[in-house]
This record gives sequence, C-alpha cells and structure tokens, in this order.
Amino acid sequence: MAELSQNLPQGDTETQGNWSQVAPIGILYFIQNFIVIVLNNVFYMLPILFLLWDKLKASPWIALLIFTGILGLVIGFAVLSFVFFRYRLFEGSVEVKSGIIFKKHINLPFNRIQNVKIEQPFYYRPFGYASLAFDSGGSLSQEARLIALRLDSAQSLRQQISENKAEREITEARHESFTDSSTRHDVINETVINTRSIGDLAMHGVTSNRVYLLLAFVAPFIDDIIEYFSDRFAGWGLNIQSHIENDPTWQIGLYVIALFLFFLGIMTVLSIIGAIILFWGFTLSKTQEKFIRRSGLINRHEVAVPISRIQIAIMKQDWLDTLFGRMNLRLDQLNAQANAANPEALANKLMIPSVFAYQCRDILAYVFPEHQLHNTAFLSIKKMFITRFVLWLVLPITLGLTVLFAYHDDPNWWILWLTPVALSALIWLRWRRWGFAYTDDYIYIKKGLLGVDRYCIPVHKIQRVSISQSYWMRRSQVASIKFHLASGGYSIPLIDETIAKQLQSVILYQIESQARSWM
Amino acid sequence: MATNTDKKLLDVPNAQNGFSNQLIETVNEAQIDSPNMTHVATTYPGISLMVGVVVIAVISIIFAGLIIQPLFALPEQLEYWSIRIWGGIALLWCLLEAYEYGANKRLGYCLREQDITMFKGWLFRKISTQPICRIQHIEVKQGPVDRKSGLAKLHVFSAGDLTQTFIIPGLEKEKAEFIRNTILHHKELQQRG
Repeated sequence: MAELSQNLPQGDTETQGNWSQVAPIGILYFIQNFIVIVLNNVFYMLPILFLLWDKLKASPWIALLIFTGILGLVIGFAVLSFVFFRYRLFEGSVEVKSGIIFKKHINLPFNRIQNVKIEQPFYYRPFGYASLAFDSGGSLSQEARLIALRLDSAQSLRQQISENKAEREITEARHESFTDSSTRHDVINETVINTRSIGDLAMHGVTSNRVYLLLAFVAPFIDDIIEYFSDRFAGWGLNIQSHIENDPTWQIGLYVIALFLFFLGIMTVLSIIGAIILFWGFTLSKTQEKFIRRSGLINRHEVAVPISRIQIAIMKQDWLDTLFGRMNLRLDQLNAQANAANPEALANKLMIPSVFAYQCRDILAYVFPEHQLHNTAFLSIKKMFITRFVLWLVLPITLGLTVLFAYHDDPNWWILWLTPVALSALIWLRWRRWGFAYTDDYIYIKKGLLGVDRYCIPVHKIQRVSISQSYWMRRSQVASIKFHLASGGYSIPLIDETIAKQLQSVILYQIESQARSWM
Repeated sequence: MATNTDKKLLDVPNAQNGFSNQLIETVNEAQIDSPNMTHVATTYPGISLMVGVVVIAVISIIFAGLIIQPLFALPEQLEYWSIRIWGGIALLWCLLEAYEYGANKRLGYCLREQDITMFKGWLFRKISTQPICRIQHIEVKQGPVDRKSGLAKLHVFSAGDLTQTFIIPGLEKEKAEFIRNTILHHKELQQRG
C-alpha cells in the first residue's frame, strides 16, 4: 500500500494526501444538477401553480419573485456544494467528500474501479474542463465523481489509475509465478479500431429510432407547440370535421397516408439529428486491456471499459438494418439490463452504431477471440412455440371477434378478421427467427421478429443456469433454458429436453472445472 | 471449432481431470421423488398455506367489519361492487395458495461439491443451478413466522442479481446453516478471500 501511494500522483503532487477542491467551473455542473432536480419536481408543484394561477396573472411580479427565488436557491446550493466538495487520491483509492447538510464520504479503491468515464458537458468544452466519474460496479450512489478537472489532468489521472492497476496486477502475477510480463509498456498504446462517419450516423438515425433523445429536450414545451399548431390550423380555416363528412372515402384514405408519411419523414429527420448529436465524432479505441469509446456533439462522453469486464456481445438489427446490412453492436457489462430503461444510459454504454458485419466481427475478435458467431448455423426451436402462442393469444382473440360479429353484423368491420391472421404470421416469423447454437466455449442465440438480434455468450461468464418446464412441455419432452449473466438473463425457449439438460451439465462443468474469472 | 449444429450431443463430463462434483450428504438425507433432490422441511407447505389463509381471512374480516359497522353507511353501488370484486380476488388468491401448497410440497434442493440446485414448481417446474464459484454472498434469513417454526430462508446472490434471486425457503435452520457453512468453506470462495 505504501508503495502504491508513492508512485501514483506523479502529475499533480499537491493532490497527494491533501484534500483538494475542483475548479470553480464545477459550480456550473452543480447548477445543472439542481436545475434537473427542480424540473423533475415541477410535476408536484403544478397543483400549487394551478391554485395560484389567478393571483399570478393579476400580479406577474410574484411569479418573477418566485422564479428568482428558486434560481437564487439553486445557485446558492450550487456554490455551497462546490465549496464543500473535496477529493483526494490517497493510499490507492479515490476519496470524495461532498454534501451540504447530509455529508457523504466515498472511498473507492483503485482496484474496485470498473470504469472511468470522462464527460464533457457543453459548458465545459470551451474552457477545456471535464468531469471524471469512477464506476464501482455497485450501485449508482457509490459512484465517485470528480466534478471539474482540466481535461488533460483528467486524462492523465485516468491513465495513472489504469497503469497503477495494471502494474499491481502484474506485480501480483510476478509474485505468483515469476513470469516476466512486458505488458507494462503497452498500456499507453491506444489504437483507434473503429470510427463512424456522418453517413454511418445518418444511417443509424434512419434504422434505429433515436427520436426520444430529442424529445427529452423538447418535452417541457410540447403543450405549447401543440397549442401553437392547433391555433395555426384554425387560422388556415382547416375544418377537419367537414372534410371527414363530405369527402369520399378514398380521399380521406389519401389524407391519412400523406399525413402518416409526413410524420414518418419528420420523425426520421429528428432521429437522424438525435443520432448525430449522440454519436458525433465516434471513435472506438483499444489499449492493452481496455476499450475506449468517445462521442457526442453537445456533451462529449468518454467511456473506458476493461475488455475482461465485457459479459456479452449483442448484435441488434432492425428490419431496416437487415436491408442495409448494418448492425448495432453492444458490449454489455454488469447490470446492463437494469439500466436499459434509462435513455441517458445509452451514452454510457459500449455501443457501436450501424457497423457492417465484417467490422462487427473484427471488433468482437478482440473481446471473444474464438467466437464463431459469423459462421454458425443455428438450430431452430420447437414448433410448439407456434402452437403455444396461437393457443394463448390468437384463439382468445378469434373467439372474442366471433362473439362481436354475432352481435354486430356490420360488414365494414370485416377488416378486423385480419388481426388473427396477422398475429399468426407474426408468431410464425418470430419462431423462424429463434435459433441457438453452442460450442464448448460459447452459446449463440438468435431472435427477433422483423429484425434480428444475435447474442454471443461466453460460457465462462455464466453465473447460473435454470431449466423450466410446464406440465405440457414435460409431456412432450421439451424444456426452456435460461442463462443468468452479470449483465442480465438470456433464455432459449422450447428446445429438446435432452439438449437442455446436456447443455446445462456441460456449462456447469466448464464453469466449475476451469475456475476462470468472469470479471 | 465446429458448432454442434446437428443433434450431436456433447459428452457429459464426469470425474475427469480430477474434477469431481459429488453429492454432499446433508444432516439427514430424505430422498423422495427426484433421485438427487432433498425436500425442504415437511412442515413448510402447511405453514406457508396457513399464513396465506390467515392473511386472506384478516383482510376479509376487516372488509366485513367496514360494511357491517353501524357508524356510517357506504354508498350502495360501492358496497355492491366491492363485495363482488373482493370475492373474486379472494377466490383467485385461495386458488393460488392451493397451487403454492402443491408446489411447496415439491420444493427441494441438491447440494453438490461444486454447485447448489433448486427444484421448484408443480405445473411449471423450474430447476436452477448455481455454481458455488460464482456465488457473491449468502444470507440465512428468518422472518417472525420462520423463527416460531424453526425454519429459515437461504438467499444466494451472484453477480448481476437484481431481478432474479435464488432463494430456498422453508429449510430447517440447522440445514440452512449447514449449507451456508459448506458453501463458505468451499475452496474457490476461500481463495478469493
């Protein structure tokens, strides 16, 4: 430990052992944080606002007063937060003290750090500052963040921490086996292995919906926008009611299609803009043991992930992607599924947008060297999948429709009969997409509906296996198998019972006999 | 390396390369239906059923009390519908408890040198196996009912366990602690420190 604290902070000696403050520009970061908190709670304040509306209208200066009051509080709290914020690097760990009333002290040893993220919000970029976040792999509240450092010192700090880790691991290895390892010098070598052009990003915008990224910005104003446009429509003398009553059906149909295409076009453009904002200047680079992803037009994100921490590779292809031959490659780490709901999380993920299959294969080769995903023939799952869904989904709907038609014999509703047909077709498609394959070291899963997702699961990263069977599945000797990984659970439904059991015992054998680390 | 695309089955590994994964005998062995499965405490299904029925009964009594009490009258519509809705829920709940009872009778586990397996479910059967070398930590938990009846729950946590946890309920306390100690003394976990 003593040795550690000596060789760590070569760059900035003054931080050694002493608590230090971040740059004053960090106040902006705190202000942003507090504003987000206030905006998130606006919802609860709406009833109060509603009650006071008349009074506010009568005397708008009260509103101004409240507004400045809130703003003042926010700024005050931000300044105080900044004043109380202290950090130090001491005895091989990052320590952060923060909080005005509720003090928080985080102590994160370097060897527990999973990721180091460098983030540059737009207001930091002109001044060359960045915030450095250390992810402990545990809960989010245990994340340590150094709010405002100069970009170069943030980068050198990250470098030092990873070198420090690497050195420790190597010295540990030496202690164990006295093997000479020369990786020490390669740590700094960083090679860019993938970049994305604007064309690629536009393609990504077209094929994957990134509209919600923009919606997040627009959401607070959506009511105003709708109101504005509806006023406009009224102004143009557009009367939808009279059109629907008077025009022939085919014309209304055309209106609807035109409107639909119009919105689709807008959505696509917005999605492209969203994709470009998020992935602008995308680079994926590789050091000795890490992947580093950098991107972002407004807020610049930099995520570094140790390659050994990657649990699973997922190749997602929407139906448009299948036409263009592109795929989104995602390399998930710990608890990836838990954070999936949060759109912000996408920025912190190791995701490479709209790559070609060969690029995908090349990147994957660094992570899972022996994988065979690209020339694997998949086994299909049992046809029972179709029967099951037809029985539980299509049949009830069809019965319901029959009852409906028995009462309302309206010929205009015949189109509803397409529902069961379309559903059956979708179920069949889904069944067609399902597939799995396995070797001693990897399990591959393929699924999807119109698009297709492929999963590459390394066996030694599996945490737990479970097999489930219903009464009917047992009778026809079919079983479903589920693999639990640190990143989440992945299952193959309805395969041969004997295959499932064999797969389970082989996986268990691989895990238990090799004792390879999953981290 | 070729994938197993045709139905060629992999060789099931057994004691090769000094790898062994034999059954660990527990305090008192009781094997009933599955050859390797040990059932949980025989009292557990009954206790679990009793707790469920008591909860339903208590809610029903509170509900009936609300309707019968002379202090204030509930709106007629509300009374009419709430009785029927609660009746429906209670009926479904009872059915679920009955299924639970059947499932708990078939609840069991199997501790081997390298892994622990849990068998659960009745119509929907599930067998999950947790390799001991992937266990992050273990807890033996006892609720108030468990304490009265001398039972305990064994929680086994592995990495990334946010939604699906591995819990074996209804173990006798000594058995639960025996399993915990066996796992804690496993050499993989010992090495990891």
